[in-house]
Amino acid sequence: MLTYIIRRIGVMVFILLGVSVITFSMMHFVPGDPAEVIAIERYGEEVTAETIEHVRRELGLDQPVYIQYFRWLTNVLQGDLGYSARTDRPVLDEILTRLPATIQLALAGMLVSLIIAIPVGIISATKQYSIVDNVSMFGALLGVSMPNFWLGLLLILLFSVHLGWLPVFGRGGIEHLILPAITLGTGMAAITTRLMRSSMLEVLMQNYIRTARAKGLTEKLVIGKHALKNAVIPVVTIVGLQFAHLLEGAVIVETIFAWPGIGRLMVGSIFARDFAVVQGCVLFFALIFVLSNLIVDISYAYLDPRIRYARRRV
Amino acid sequence: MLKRIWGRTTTVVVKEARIIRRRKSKMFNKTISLVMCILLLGSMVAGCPRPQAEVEVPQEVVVGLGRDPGVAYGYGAHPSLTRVLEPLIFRDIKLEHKPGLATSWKVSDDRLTWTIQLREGVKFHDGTPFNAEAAKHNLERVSVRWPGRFGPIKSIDAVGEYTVKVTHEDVFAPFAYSLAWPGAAMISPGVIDEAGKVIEPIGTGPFKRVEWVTGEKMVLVRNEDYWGGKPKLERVTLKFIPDPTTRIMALEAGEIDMIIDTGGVMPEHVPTLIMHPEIEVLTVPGAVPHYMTLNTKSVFFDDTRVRRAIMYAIDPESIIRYALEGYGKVMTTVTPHSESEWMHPEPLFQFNKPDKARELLQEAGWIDTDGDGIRERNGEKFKVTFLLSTGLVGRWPYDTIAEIIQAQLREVGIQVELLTVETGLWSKKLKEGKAEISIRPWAGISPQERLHSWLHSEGINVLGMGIFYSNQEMDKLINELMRTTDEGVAKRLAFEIQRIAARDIPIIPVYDEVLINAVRHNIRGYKLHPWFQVNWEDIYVVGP
Repeated sequence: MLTYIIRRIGVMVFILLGVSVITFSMMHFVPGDPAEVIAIERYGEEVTAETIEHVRRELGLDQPVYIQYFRWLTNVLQGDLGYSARTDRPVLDEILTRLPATIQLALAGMLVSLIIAIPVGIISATKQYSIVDNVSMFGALLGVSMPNFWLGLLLILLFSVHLGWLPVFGRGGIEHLILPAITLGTGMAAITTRLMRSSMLEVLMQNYIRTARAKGLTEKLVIGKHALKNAVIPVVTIVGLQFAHLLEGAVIVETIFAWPGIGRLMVGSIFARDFAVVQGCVLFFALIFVLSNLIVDISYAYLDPRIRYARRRV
Repeated sequence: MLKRIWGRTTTVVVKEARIIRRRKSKMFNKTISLVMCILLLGSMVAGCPRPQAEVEVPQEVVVGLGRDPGVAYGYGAHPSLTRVLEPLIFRDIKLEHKPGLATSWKVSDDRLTWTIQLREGVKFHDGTPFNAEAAKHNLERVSVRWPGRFGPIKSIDAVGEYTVKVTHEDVFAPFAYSLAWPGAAMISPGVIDEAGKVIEPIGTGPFKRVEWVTGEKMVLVRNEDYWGGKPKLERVTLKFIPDPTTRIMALEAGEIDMIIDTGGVMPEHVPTLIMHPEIEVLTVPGAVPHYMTLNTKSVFFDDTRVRRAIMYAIDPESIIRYALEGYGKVMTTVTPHSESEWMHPEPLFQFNKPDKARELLQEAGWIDTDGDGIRERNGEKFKVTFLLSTGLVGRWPYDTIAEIIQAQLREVGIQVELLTVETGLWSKKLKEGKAEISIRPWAGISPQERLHSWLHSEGINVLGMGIFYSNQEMDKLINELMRTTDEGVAKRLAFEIQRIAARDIPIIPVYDEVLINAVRHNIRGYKLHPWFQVNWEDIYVVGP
């Protein structure tokens, strides 16, 4: 297992390098003059040609793209991600102050989705075609179809403006997290519920479940001990992979709730051609994607011993 | 038998249940009565007159903004929004020049040398005295960074402790406007590096920046030693809330006390806010006019008659009514209402005359020969591109405005294709002349600079927005305007320039913006400024 993890980490380095090359080229091949866009962002819409040239020289944008990339890479290898062209602050600081906010939001969103999805999925599967099943599946359909921003605004309207129970925006105590987490988690909960249900249905039809029932085990024990662990494997895979997607989805939620996360930073930086910040963010996102994949694989091995044994034999 | 026993048992059980229920009901009634009594007593006690303790209202406000107040001019604090940094000359609510860090400014008889007298006894937030050396340092810095904005400067000299002399190589009439521009803010020389970069916003303003979390918030505390008197507010927290609807809901919920800035409140939210008993909506005609640009080098718009036809075809009133909920003003010339003294008194631009537009298009050879509703000339359809920038669409309802213009031009037989692209690409396409129509706002620094940028053949918008308008007569007049220090003469020149602009129509002024802000009822003293300069020093809180 340890060798496997080390090997995966080795591959990770190459993935990150590839991602950085692709991002760098893409950012530079996007039409439009980056110096002008940065100048507008920095000095306002009414920038003069002199200001644009000043920005170009200051940020080294007058150099060929490959030189800019190698200069950036050399700095990164020395632990320097550069400075934001917009705010003049170190990119690492910008990312590190926002990353915890986004991870917190994504984890909370995931938790909300699991709290809804697992019990509802199980009940739906065990009571297939019942009213409970139909209602929960309709709820899932609703959850998938509801746009994040719409749900978020409705939640704010009800719980913050009318009832005054929860804050409208910003990051602070746990009360600040509730609405953004529900907004973010609902869509994912809907998908996970359906997955949990179908996975559970499939497992419940297996012979070992019949055997368990034949042994006279209680339904609670059959579902809880024998079915759940097996049914949850595909769910774990999806949830793990969706964690990274949650980070992407967080952009909209972060905007609505003025949540100071990395998603908003990245989108703002793309529009402002803040290359250093975009590169830094992409690097972090790639890292999270790769790591979440790795964690999924490891937890897979834990949940399904056959995978573990197969690797040992290899 | 069993039935009888069962029946009797059931009757007994039912009876017992009734008794228990009755008892419970009595207990419940007693509890309710007790609670009611307590509540009644409580309310009586509360209602009794008590000695009123003097409650101090915390002088703190939380403000919602649609942009990060730290990202401006590379200073780390927007001078007008935060008032951490101040320019030499202020512009009051009527946009007239008023002494700021400079108490007077005079130009020499040869109109080349400006003598600026500075306010004495002012200190930067770090304790550094504000004097002629500091002003010189800053003027040199800004004139290098924005050379076009300060004229052809020959030298800047500190000629006394509080006097600075700026000498131009050639006459630059709007210099006082340049000194009033927020970008020309005075910053402590100690926080400006050798390259002229501002490391920290240390100014002279009524508030100091104590915290800035990029993309999230900025905290300001009052400058106890402010030269204009101690501000009433102790602390201002500026929160960046990008979504306009969330901003409104945060104000409704009382989480923020004010929404300020241009574009702070979108017109569509005003009806909701007006209904709110604890919110006051403030409006003021802003100094931000919006111009529609025409590519005068394209085959469609190289004829003045066609450009005039476009002017007649569009109806800014309906744009203001439908896209801006009435929060806008029709412009009659290229100079906005905020510079009313510089505005030509006659309505030079005339709109909503589609029949005249049709006549002019016919005259210019654009005729709908195949009956499809679109005009042609020499086999070419009158089909133009209206290019919009994502950055601007996000701040103003340009998409709706463009759709209205599209419909109005369709009425006279012109097909308009709307295309919204990212800001960088928008700018590139316009500069390369790859679009025929566009729209943008322009606050401008001075009436002279505005006319230069939009109408001079070398004006930054004429080139940057792909207008490519060139008229020697116009260039001559604008050059003269830039050198005329006598305001009376300058205004007459400006009128003539506006008249020619309305004759040639390289741009069409679409509307003058009305700024909309909103504050909670307990905030007093806020005066909405057309240049969104916030009077933080006058604002105070009167209650919870």
